[in-house]
Amino acid sequence: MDTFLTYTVFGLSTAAIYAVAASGLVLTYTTSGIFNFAHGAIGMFAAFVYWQLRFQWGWPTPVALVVVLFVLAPLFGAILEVGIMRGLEKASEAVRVVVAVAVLSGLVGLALWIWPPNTARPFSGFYPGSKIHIAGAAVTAHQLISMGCAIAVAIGLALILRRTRAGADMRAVVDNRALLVVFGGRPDRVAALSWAIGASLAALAGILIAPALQLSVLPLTLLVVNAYAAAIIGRLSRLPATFVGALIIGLAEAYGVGYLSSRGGFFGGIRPAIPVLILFVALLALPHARLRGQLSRRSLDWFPSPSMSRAVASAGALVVAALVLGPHLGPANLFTANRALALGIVALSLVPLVGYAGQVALCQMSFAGIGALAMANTAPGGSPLGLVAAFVVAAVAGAIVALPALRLRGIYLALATAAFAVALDRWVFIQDAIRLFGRKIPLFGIYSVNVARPRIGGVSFGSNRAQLVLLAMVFALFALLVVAIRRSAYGRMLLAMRESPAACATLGLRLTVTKLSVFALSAGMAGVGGALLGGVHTAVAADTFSFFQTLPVLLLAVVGGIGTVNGAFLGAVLLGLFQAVARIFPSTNNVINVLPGLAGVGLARNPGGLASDLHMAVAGLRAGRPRRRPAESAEVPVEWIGIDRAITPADVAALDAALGMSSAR
Amino acid sequence: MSTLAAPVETALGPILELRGIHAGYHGIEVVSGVDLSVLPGEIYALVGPNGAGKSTTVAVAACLHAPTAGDVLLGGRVVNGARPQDLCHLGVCLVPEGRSVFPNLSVHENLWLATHAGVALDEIESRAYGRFPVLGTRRAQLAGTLSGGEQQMLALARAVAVNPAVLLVDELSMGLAPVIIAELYGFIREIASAGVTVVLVEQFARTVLGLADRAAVMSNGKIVGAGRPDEVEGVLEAAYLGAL
Ligand SMILES: Nc1ncnc2c1ncn2[C@@H]1O[C@H](COP(=O)(O)OP(=O)(O)OP(=O)(O)O)[C@@H](O)[C@H]1O
Ligand SMILES: [Mg+2]
Repeated sequence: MDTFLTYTVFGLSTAAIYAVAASGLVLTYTTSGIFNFAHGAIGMFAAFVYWQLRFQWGWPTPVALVVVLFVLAPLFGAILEVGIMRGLEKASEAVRVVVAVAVLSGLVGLALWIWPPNTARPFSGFYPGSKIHIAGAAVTAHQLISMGCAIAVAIGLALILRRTRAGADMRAVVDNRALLVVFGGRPDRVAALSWAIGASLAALAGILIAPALQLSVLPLTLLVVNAYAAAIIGRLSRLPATFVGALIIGLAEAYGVGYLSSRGGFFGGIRPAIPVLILFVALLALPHARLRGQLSRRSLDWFPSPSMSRAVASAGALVVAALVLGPHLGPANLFTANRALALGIVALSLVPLVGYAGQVALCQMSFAGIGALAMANTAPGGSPLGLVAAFVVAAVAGAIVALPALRLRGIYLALATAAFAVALDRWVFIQDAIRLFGRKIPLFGIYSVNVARPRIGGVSFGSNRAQLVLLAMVFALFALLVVAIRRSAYGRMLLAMRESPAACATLGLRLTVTKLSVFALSAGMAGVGGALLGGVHTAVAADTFSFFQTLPVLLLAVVGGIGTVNGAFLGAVLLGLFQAVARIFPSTNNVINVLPGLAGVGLARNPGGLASDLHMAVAGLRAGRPRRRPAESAEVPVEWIGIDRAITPADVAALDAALGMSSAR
Repeated sequence: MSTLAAPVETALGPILELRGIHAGYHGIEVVSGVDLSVLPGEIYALVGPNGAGKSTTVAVAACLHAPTAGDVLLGGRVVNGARPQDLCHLGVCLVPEGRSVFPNLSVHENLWLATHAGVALDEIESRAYGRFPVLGTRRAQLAGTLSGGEQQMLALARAVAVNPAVLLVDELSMGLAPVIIAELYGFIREIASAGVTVVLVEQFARTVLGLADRAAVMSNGKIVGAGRPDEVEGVLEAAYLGAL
């Protein structure tokens, strides 16, 4: 009984923290329509800043808290909204997700830069050591404070939303954004305010949860991700339900710790994955009509359809370039190029899925990992059948993920696939083996797995140089496949799915088949990429294929131009260049970690990606002048005759007087 | 009550004027060269069949929708591109099409949001409840649960309570019983006689023409006739038939 109480207390205090984080998420989402994937990263970053102030510089706790919670975090949230998210009003859902993911990635890179890992950073909770006993269970002061914070946040939010005009504004924006403008309100300010509050709540959650584990970047970022499940249970719109969701997750996790971890076996390791599994189930259980983000937006993205002969020529040129360049590259450069090309294949696999079909999946490297495992397990000698197995097994996994996720779109799909990836990271990949159909299939475990380099028809691609040629050939082959898809009726179907899911829904079964098949195809291609990546490294560990590894690949592919094969290639080139620069100038390593994030944020300006920029520039040169895509609507400056400043009440009065109006203002 | 068929031109000229307005959505033009001039204190009716571009025209007048060409003038000043909330502060108040209240906010909170226009809450509430006592009894009720007529009263009350100089009302009568329409039109007449300029957009022309001082008929994005109500009656039929 005592242990049960102890676990309950533990669960309640974690639930409190999830509730704080999740309510911030719900607030920002409802008022701005943008799901803040970087919410956890903001909490992580704030925890580090607080550590810096409180423990490194020895500031008094209240001062450090006030500075982080009421100055820095809100400021950051507001700047994020005004500077980045506001520009996304007209962007497609895919671009919105990617930009938010880019912010996450940038914050993680920045934190790793400022606070290098592998340093002990003691982070004690509030009033360490003090505890009280309630009915035989010890409750630490920190746990009590966590619960108190959740209650305070609940009351505070209720007061803001019900008792202040700013709160009424927030609810009005949720009701009818355009109407608030007619009332003379400012929805943009409402969004900035809610992002400021949201960031502050993320920061509070980060600071509260940090003592429970070592202060380290990735676990902290993901731990607050657990709060996403609570937010989804609250259907991203209802705060009370969100709090209930947080309770469910906190308690489930605590009892999982208590009663599952003592058991061995495959399911003994499920505990860390509980919140993401709940997230996955909650997403699937959401009623259809509640899902927002089903609006069909006019996308600004760019999907050229190149001619087949041109594609064949480019593909051939790539292989020839690999043949010619290979001998001139040193071992280090060769390795970098190989790695970039292998990741480029994964990036290419995103083109039909994210680019054409507009389905943002965040688990592509998980499929790559599955491919690597398939290769390692079926072809230890490097038989080409291993690559086939990699494709097939990953494709099946892709279809299995897609099946429950069929009706999810936009952020919901992104979240579900992220949950899948994190569940694999935390639970499946790190197991030594899994039993499937009575066979024992070795997984990564905590060590690395050897992946053979392919040997095809007696030709060994064992050397790094031969690897380059093989990778170029596979990339070229898949590129041709993707171009062929773009030109086919199937490709038009994918684009239609992106533009108007509603119109496509009338096609019924065909939509289901299309969606499943594009997921499977994309996962299969990623699987082959992963198998080849394993060969490049010769031995790979689970963390090569973690959720966080997907982010730079996705970001750079989107930055290159997710709508085109060229874009995926450009993304691979960028990856390779970043790595080469980081290797030659080790001091730049940290900047490089931040770059994908920064580049992704730049998408807010041009969702078509670099490939479309280059295309425009080249077309412009041909036409003799730079060509620009027309702006959506021209900004006309305020043109008060004789007044070129903001309008003051005095102006209003003057105007009223001049017009002889009845209004007494 | 304003009974002049055509109000005398004041020295100041029109209070609201549209000059050569072109506007559209996603590159498709739905308003092509509209000129409109509304004099201070008059009731001006803008009528026309479905899809004529009336709502788009008033959205342009309230600076909610940017025109592709043409000017919006308020009191002789060009206000193109002004932010809608500035226009709201300057006394141009739009009651958009549909039920223009926040359904999940109470009556009281709906009026609270009207304070964005710069008028104090108690002033707004006393005016609104004074004119429509039924709203006063529904203060804490969610606006979405009010009857259609009550919602439209709330929308009008909110707009009038902030002292507008120009009131733009889009489809006041939509979906309402004739007796309620009559009451709301009575209210419009009252505020116009207090000096407020009112632009009424309606699809069904007959009733509103009985109320208006002047009217314009719109069809296919163009003004096809303008003048005193009896003057535009003639073009009405053609406009509605033409749209069929
Ligand atoms: N947001 C929008 N996006 C695209 N097209 C629009 C939009 N709003 C209006 N339109 C189109 O513009 C045209 C004019 O619409 P508008 O609403 O101005 O007409 P209206 O005269 O007010 O019609 P009604 O009497 O039915 O309200 C219509 O063909 C309509 O389809
Ligand atoms: Mg209309």
